[in-house]
Amino acid sequence: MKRIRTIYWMSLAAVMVMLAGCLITGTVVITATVAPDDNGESIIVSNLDFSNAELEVNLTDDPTFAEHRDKIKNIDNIGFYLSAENPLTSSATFQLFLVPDTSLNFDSAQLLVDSLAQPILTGLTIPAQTTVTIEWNESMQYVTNLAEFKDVLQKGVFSLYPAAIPRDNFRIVIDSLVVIVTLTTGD
Amino acid sequence: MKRSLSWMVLLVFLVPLSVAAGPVGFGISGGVLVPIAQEDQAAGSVFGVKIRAKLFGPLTMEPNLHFGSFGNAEITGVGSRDGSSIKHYGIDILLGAPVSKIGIKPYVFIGGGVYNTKRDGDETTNRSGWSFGPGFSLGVRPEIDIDLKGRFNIAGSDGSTSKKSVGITAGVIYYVGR
Repeated sequence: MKRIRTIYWMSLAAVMVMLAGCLITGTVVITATVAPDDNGESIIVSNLDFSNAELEVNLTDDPTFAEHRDKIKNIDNIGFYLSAENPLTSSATFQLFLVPDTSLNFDSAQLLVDSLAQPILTGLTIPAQTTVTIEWNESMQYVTNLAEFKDVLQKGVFSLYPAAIPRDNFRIVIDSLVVIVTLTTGD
Repeated sequence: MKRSLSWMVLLVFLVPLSVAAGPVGFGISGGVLVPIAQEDQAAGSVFGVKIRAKLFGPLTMEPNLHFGSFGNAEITGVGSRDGSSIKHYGIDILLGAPVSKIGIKPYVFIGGGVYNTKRDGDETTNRSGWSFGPGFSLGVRPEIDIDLKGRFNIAGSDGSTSKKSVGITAGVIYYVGR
């Protein structure tokens, strides 16, 4: 009986040591607010004016991302919080394109698409003269091409371009856009 | 896929019983499932069934099947995200939990198995994993144990990483046979 008790306590001690070792990896959630802009203004993009479309995201500004930057093992997911208005009289399908190169400029949504840029979010219908808000969980159903963008997300710096279909007749007012990246870190 | 999973669960339960000696206990349990270092999950619940039988010496085996779900993670200003649901089946080897005996029976265990994880927006994964922890059984009658168990789960995940959680469950085991 005494021997079993000794084995029990030794096993328990071993478990505690293993437990401590296992805790060096974990999943963290990083958020980056993209809109409204630094002046508190909504972002407006349209087929007529695409000059303000580039939204640069720098996850390295987040202290948690900066801390774990060199220890990222996997980008688990990306989600969004979005509040966007379609003021036109016809509905639009909202998209967010992710472009790794932050130095590029596109004069129109069509040129963006022609550059073979890929959307990270697509398929969100915004009815005419309506504001749509989607939260973190709901946004997951619109996320696409995540596997292709994992390396870019891991670097932490990229550009997002909001656009919509039809390309030749859209106007979107983005009151709020937050990028939510879930990643696993470890030594 | 579902059919092969059912067969594997059946094998996990039946094969060990063929080498079991003495009484065999059938148990149910329920409790809390707490994510460890996972900001995208919150505490949820877990339920399970298991079979406990003597292996040899001070060792006891416990084939088990658990159904768990994490709670929704909440971040102020962006909303919440549904927690994952987890189905886990495997075998535990226990040290110090004699079957069908009256008294307080502390034990430690180590186990291996398969973790099936699902969540909207994530790929469903079937990964191997392992678990360990302490527990104690209170034998109130030769055929009845009240069981309290802490299980530290380490389930394989993408990118050579793992997802960890702790399950704390209470349950009852009923022994049949001599």
